[in-house]
Amino acid sequence: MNKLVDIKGLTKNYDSLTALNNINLELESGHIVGLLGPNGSGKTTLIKILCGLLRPTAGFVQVDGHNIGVETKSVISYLPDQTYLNGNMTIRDIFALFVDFYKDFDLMRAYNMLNILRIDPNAKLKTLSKGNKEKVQLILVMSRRAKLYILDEPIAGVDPAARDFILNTIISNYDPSATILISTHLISDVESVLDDVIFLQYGNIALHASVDEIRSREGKSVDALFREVYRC
Amino acid sequence: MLGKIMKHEFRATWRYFLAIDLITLVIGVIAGIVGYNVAGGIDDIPPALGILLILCLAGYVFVMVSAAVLTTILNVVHYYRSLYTAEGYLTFTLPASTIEILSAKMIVALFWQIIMTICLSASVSFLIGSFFLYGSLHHAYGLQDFYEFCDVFEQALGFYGFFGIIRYFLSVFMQIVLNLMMFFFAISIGQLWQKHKVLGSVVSFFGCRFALGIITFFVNLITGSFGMLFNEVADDPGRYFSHSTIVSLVISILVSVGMYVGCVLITDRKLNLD
Repeated sequence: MNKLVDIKGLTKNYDSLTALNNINLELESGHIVGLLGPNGSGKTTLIKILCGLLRPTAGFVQVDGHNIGVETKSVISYLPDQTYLNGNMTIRDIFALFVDFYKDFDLMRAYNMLNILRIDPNAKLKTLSKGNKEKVQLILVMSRRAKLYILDEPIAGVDPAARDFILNTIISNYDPSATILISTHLISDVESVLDDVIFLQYGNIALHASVDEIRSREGKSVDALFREVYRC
Repeated sequence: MLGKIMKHEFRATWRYFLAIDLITLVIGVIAGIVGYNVAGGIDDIPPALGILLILCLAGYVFVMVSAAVLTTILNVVHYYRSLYTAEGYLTFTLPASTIEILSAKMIVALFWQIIMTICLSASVSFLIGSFFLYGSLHHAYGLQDFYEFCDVFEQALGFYGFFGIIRYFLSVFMQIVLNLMMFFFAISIGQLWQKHKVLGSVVSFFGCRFALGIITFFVNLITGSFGMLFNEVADDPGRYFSHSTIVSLVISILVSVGMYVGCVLITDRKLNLD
């Protein structure tokens, strides 16, 4: 398997607070990885550093053999945990933008998914419900043929039906040679699709193992193990 | 990538700026028509109408100033929103370098700022030109008067000859660049604050303005600009303006380049989206 993500000695400090503490992590291609941890454990910080939205204090980060930069951004498809598109843009405009910037963006696939949801491509983003905005953003992300998909809380704040759609979209559009990194609190909802999990705690990696390994070694689900590890 | 980002910048902004520019031009044309019609009977205007015309003129000035300020505000707000709010998550994950992203946004902002300056100039020219047009057509005063007016204006401001005019326009252009760069640089400095980044930007902006004022003052002092202003044996008052224009041109080029480099370096090395 190819080493897609290579992180060595990654540290991120915010003044006196250490968000990530000397993290070492390797991710291979072809896995769906859950990035799990309570609030403030460093999940979003790690994701932002991988996406080039945050500069590390120290350490070495490579994606697909490149330091974080233009090359890595062209192979990472990122879904942030908030609406990040200009609400005045129509969906058609947003698709045009993605076609312009990402060679791997599959326009047909995007329109097909939009059609299934019966969302008008001429609608402005700000006129859509929160759930539909999330779906449009997910369509954008999953219509790319990226090497690394990074999804930050993709199912938070949406109803169970929307959650099902989101997870189905992720699974059905998943290229087996790519890796998906999903950050979430809702472990029970995503556990069935995960290959590996990473538990983050106080900026450190508390656990990095495959889901099968956890089940056979611990004799419990990832959700149950998470509740045990992070019991207040 | 620079061209693609610029294309989408234009797409995102053209409606607002074009509307402001068109309003500026249309109001200028209306002011010109009114000016042409009152130019002949300016001594016979009833007091009530005179007051109304003065109010209209004040309104015109207010609209022109507002259009210029609004253009700057829209440029700065768009720059800030597209880079440092949630929209920055898209902007900074595009496969483009920091230089390309910032440069594209700055070039488009500068374009709209220059278009606004041209529209403002055209609008004011319509108003002033209407009086000269009336005077020329009705032989109240001819083109010769206009040229004399221009000569007095040129002498007072000290832009002699072709290169003087070029220098003056370059100076105006660089002032526009400098003003924008100062806003953008202040926004970048504000991003270095862990909290209250907007406040940080505002404080940085006034700090930069103050520092620039001090620098300009001392450079003018050292190079003898003020001496020219108070020199009674000077050839004409234009020497001071001519000299200070060169000083401000050099300063604005150096400071603008410095601020551009600062923006790129800060964003490249210290990007910290909330």
